[in-house]
Amino acid sequence: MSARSRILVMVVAMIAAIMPCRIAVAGSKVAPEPVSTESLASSGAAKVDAAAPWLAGWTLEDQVWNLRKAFADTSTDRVALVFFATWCAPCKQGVMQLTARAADLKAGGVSVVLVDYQEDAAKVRGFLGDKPAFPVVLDRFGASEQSYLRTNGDQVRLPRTVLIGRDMKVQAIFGSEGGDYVDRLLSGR
Amino acid sequence: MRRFPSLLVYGLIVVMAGCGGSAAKGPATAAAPRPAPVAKGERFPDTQYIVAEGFSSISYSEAETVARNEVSARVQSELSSVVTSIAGSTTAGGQTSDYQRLLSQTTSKTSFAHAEMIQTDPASRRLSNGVYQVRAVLSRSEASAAISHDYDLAAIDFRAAATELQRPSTDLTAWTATLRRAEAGFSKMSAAAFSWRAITRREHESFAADLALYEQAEQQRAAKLSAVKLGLVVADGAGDKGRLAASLGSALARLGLTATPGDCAPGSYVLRLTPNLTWEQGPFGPVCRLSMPGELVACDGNRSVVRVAIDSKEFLGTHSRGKDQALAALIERVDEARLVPVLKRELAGCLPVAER
Repeated sequence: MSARSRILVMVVAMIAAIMPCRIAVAGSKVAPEPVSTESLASSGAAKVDAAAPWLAGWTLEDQVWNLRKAFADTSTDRVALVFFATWCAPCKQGVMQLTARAADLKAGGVSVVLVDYQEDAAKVRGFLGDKPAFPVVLDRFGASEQSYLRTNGDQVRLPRTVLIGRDMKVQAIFGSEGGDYVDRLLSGR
Repeated sequence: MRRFPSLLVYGLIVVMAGCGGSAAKGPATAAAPRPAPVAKGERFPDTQYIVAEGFSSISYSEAETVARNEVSARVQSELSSVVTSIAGSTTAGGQTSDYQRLLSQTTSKTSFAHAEMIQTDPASRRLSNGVYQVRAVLSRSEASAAISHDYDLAAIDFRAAATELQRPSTDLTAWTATLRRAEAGFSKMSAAAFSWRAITRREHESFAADLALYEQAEQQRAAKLSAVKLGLVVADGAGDKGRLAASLGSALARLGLTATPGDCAPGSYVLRLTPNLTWEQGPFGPVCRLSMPGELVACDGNRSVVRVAIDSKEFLGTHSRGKDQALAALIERVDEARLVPVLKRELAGCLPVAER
């Protein structure tokens, strides 16, 4: 066996080892989440225990929205700003988890607001469907970029979830979403 | 010795009471003892006249002034109640109508414009116990005729402009200029109509038809504005560009314009702004000021519609910790509420914007 053939065999063996995992992930609709949700101390200008940065955007019905309006419902104890974009594949998993437990979140006083980063309404509707389970806000101009998503010249990072209390202080910031994502939102930690 | 403080207190009370008494004897006309009013009799019935008495301890001239002012005040009071009752009423949906919005903007400064028609009645002059007394009279019919003349003059401009608005037009800037003429005319007409109502206690006969014409123009305005597609381009140069653009976008929404990020598209307008920061050293740290010169461009033909200067004395930020914090403070101050009047000032001449 020549050196070239040996390398070729090794590559084929590696692909064969990886493929079943890929197929398993693709085959199951909601894959088991072995990892826990990533907890962050800060993201952009948002910091845990500090005042939540300002944010405004537009609803899918083209109405101006701002963070204060999210607390208009008196039964809301906390608002979870769930930042996403249609190009962010893991974001869809997170939204699916939230949608599956929408009733639990409501009962727990957590209002979810899905904040799309700089895309148009048609694209977002295509991603979330015609009737999303939660209010959707379009950040048309990238107001969330420095406030919530980009830290010190780094790239915009998604997914990001920022949990805000009625006192308008950030209670928790989550990065990549694990199987315990919704429970973490409900517990506020 | 122990009695001394209490005596002092009594003394002070006596002195202060004395001072209070002497103040009442001063030259102020309000404090002068008023004789019984001259009987108005049948000469000035309330349905035809607004009448007031003026008193002075100095002269007839001053009493006349007091009487005239009193008549003016009564007219103004009736006028205010007319305006308040209209401005306070809401439509069925609880929303303020465009008419009421215009009303609140224009009639806060509405005042009776024909004070020269208030006359004094020579027969009412009396001097009794050193107090001069004069009666001032405003004839409701004479005043209403003068106000009606004002109304008709304003209506000529308004009706001409309102009729012109109904003609098909593709030039939004020219259409907006006509709309502003109609609004200015309607504002003057409203002021006259309210004065007329305050004086006559009846609605001006032409006002209902003119109001309908104005509301029609407002509907056209809303339709024209909703059809405007506006791109917004904010250049780099003032920190958090995304937040600045979002604040501008929400302020434009308050004016009825839907702005989207991005440059020219066919059939649209684009507002291009270039933020400029200037820095100076303030007493407590660096101070930065923002101005945003730019232009509104009609994309068809790439035609500059108007040059704008989005700036305000309020667009400044300062912080003792340094420039970054001062800049963050500035961006926080450039919010929707502060941007709305500036954008309105700059765009109202060429786009039919109205504050919602």
